[in-house]
Amino acid sequence: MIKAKTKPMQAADSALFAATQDARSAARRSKAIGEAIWLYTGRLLILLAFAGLWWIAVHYKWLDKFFVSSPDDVVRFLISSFTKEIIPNARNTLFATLIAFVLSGICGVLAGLILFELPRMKRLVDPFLTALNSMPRIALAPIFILWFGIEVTSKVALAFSLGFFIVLLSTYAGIRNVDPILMRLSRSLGCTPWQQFTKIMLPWAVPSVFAGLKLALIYSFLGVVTSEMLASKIGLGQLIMYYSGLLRMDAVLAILLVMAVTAVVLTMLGDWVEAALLGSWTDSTSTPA
Amino acid sequence: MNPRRTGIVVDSLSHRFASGLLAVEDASFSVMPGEFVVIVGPSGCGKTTILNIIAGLEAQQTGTVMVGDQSPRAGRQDVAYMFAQDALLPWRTVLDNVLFGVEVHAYGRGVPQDTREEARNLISMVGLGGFEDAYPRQLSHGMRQRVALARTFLMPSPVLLMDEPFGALDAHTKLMLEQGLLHLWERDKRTVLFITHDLAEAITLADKILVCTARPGSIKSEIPVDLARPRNIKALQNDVRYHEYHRRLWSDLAAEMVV
Repeated sequence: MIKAKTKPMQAADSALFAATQDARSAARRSKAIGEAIWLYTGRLLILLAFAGLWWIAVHYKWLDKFFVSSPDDVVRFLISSFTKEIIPNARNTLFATLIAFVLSGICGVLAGLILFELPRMKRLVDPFLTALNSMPRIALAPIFILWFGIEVTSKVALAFSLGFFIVLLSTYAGIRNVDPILMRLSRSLGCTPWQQFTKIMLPWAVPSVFAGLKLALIYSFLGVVTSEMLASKIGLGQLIMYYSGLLRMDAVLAILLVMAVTAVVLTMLGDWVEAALLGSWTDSTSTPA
Repeated sequence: MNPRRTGIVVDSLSHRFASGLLAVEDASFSVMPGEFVVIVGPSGCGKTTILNIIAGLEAQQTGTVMVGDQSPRAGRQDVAYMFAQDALLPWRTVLDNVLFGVEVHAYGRGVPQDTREEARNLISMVGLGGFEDAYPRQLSHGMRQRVALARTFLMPSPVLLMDEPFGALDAHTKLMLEQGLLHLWERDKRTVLFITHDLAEAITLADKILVCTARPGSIKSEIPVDLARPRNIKALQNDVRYHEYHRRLWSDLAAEMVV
């Protein structure tokens, strides 16, 4: 009898849900494809327009080629040196970035959790953290180079000094901002401290941690390139310094382009992993599974 | 746990906030085992404070409060608390949210298969069949509160404390959920202490209505609601006595209103 009474409510709701989901996902899919085409052609056009203006400006001598090179020279350099210079250096830079990122991620999350669990310790070290985090990290590079030499270690150290604090702060902020109503639920249910931590606080912090990790990835890249520019045997940063010393603007701009593309790809990778792992419960625009 | 055995007794309960504000003054009432009692009162009259004390979320200061044969304590498995907010975990599906309370109380021993079946059963009873794998953000406000309702009822706790669980919903959704709550309650007649400021809701649900005075809150009157069960919300609208109760409650509460 109970079931019979609730059924109309349920049937109406599920039918409505299913129908709107179907219609929505079909409409959404075709709309999404159109949107993607518009987006990518638009971006390509912006690039082409920029390169065109650049080329014209150099061609008609509005700008001095010595200072700004030209798009065709940049492309020529890219093609000629792609396999023998760009790839080996980029590989080295990315390798260091990855190590720094992983270390920042692990240490940052752990440190964030520890500081949250030990509020007295947090109070104790707070000014030191602020001091370290507000220090211009590039100023540490000479020290790291002195300590760790000009191999991969000093690059990683500089990148880590950037990424670590980003992950630490985002982890701490995420776990601190748990919705008070969930903490009330936890108390009223009698969650053990471990249950409260693993079932409520940790999952709650995940989106914030992810935001920190994505930022740390880009900043690791930044840190590695910066360190390479100051002193290194290999890497994209070192390559830029080498060619700017030779006043080869085509090479410098080509390498800058490679770095920009790398940063975009890293960002997209982060977004993609985030959407795949958390999309179903955080992203209000993604289609339900 | 036998749902019919646990009642609530509150005797000369007063409560003063840290700020010095006297929230509750000398409140006394009892909820018989298996009884559905609703507290109505003007906002800020300390209704929620009373509920929080009974749930053990707020320390008791004076008077006597007994839930069953024990003093209140947070995390008792024989007391389930449902809030005005749905308090769903956004990373859990509807089914996993409904299972959450039971899962916590299993303390790592795992949830038995028949409890999972019961969870699915409850989900369709609150009208969410087909939504088991949806995430909270995909649901409307009313649907999320139904998930919270199912989570509360899946726990075998004989005492349910409900703090304006439908307070934030639109009128239509509210009626549907009230009917749903009545169905669920009819199954095993648990002891319910329910807070609302909605008089119609109070009459629809209650065996007994406690009218709360303005702050500091105390119980001004007890009105037994002698309407036949199981109740049907639509049919109640045509019941003369339903409207008489409404008038009576209204005049009781009007004295407490500051206009």
